[in-house]
Amino acid sequence: MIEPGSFRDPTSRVFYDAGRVFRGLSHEAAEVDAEVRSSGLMNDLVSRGLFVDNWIVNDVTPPSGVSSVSVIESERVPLVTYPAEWPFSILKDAALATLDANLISLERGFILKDASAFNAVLRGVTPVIIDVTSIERFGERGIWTAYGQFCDHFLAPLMLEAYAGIPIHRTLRSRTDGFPIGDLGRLLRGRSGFRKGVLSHVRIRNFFENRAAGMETSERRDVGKATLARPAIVASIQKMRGLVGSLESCAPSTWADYESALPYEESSIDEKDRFVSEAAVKAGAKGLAVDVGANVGRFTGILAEHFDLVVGMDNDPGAADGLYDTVRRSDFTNVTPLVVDMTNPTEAFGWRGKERAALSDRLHPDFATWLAVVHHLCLGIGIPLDEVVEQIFDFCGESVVEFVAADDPMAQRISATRSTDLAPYGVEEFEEYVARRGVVLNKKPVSDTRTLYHLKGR
Amino acid sequence: MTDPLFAYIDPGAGATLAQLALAGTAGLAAIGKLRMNKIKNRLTGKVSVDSESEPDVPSDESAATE
Repeated sequence: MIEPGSFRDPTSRVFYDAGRVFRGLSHEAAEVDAEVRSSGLMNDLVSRGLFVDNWIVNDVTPPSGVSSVSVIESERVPLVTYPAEWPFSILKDAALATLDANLISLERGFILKDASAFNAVLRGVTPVIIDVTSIERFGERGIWTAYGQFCDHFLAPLMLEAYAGIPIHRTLRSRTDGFPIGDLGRLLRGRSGFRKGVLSHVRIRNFFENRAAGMETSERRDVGKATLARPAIVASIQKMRGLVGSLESCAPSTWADYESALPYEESSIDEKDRFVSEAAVKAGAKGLAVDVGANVGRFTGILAEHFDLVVGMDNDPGAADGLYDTVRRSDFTNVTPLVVDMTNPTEAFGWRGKERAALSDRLHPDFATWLAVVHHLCLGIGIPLDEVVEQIFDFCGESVVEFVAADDPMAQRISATRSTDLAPYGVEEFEEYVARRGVVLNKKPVSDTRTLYHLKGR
Repeated sequence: MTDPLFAYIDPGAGATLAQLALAGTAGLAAIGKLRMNKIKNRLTGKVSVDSESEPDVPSDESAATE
């Protein structure tokens, strides 16, 4: 099957066969790829963890319509994630990886021909570039073709979160081309308009974009022929690296310190730990687990001891950023923190509505936890309990779910301003709805108002 | 030099000019080598009536092949 999102580079199309991922290269792309490999650059990029591992194969025939001068197989990353699903620090690290790959390539006379944030995915917790054919020859003079794309895909959303506190999952949602620099210029007003890099990469760029809009074809062609010496390009990219490295999120976080404010006794947390751990073992403890509403990742960490890959997802980017920071400083490499709103997960988008896949088509968990989530969905947001139970079973066949009664202090807090005229919400209804779709393998009250369930779908 | 066969990403005239402008003296020199009679006027806002009214006429195409 040809990857529907790989049409933009006609010299290198991605296709899948028997669970493996390949690229079919045109004559020109194969020539450059051979040079990249013989120069040692590809080995260098892979060994530094900037590119996924990849190798030439000779026994695979691409599907009709895909060039086959050379076929490259890539290491398959278990879950493809998109920039709008990452917290700030992951987009920032993906930006730094893109710049580092450029600097290393330039040392050997090459450069990355694009800088799409979609070229990076998470291998566990680490951003890594999957477009292994995005390298082109540079020589002694040229232009950083991808400068504008880098600004749109990385710099603009990072600046918007760092300088205006608008999180990237809002600015990049359903966008294939990053965040428009013109819009950024309009949003960064007042003091934020004088922050580092805004004059250079927003105001000056906008000035030239506006002027270029009225240029004639011949003038555009002249501009297209302009070049810089390699050291000037290297200096520009190093300067960009310094700017990106200096950006820090200032978006407010609702739940980042939720863990410390949990209304539990320590003993009940230990019981929850044990329950989740035992359920994970019973479930087979392999493959992909998802911790829905991971917060800073207490239970994500427990799942990470059992499963090959654990996705810790939360709708609060501050919580996901905190989890990313924790995991980066730990020994775990099998945790992927994501910013996902379960009431509105990523849909398919892009060209013909197929270029980028819906989260539900990319994420197929073997096990999931919904700890302290159901009451937020029902009492906080107003989704009927039967709908939530349906979603729990649709999302994953085996789950641990915490049911929090309406008289729990946290449940009271989140529903304090809400009308009492809600859909039925009680433990009896919960168990009735569960019985429609699956069975309870284990059940344990952890406080007067909270009960854990290990559920399995039929 | 960038091989045009692989230039499927359009760097864009505005982004390229911004990149040159930010690259210090080398970039400014590169801008200086462009056909300044047209582009400089654009940058300073002095636009000739002829070129503004017909931005992409065929005569432009032939001029570009010089």
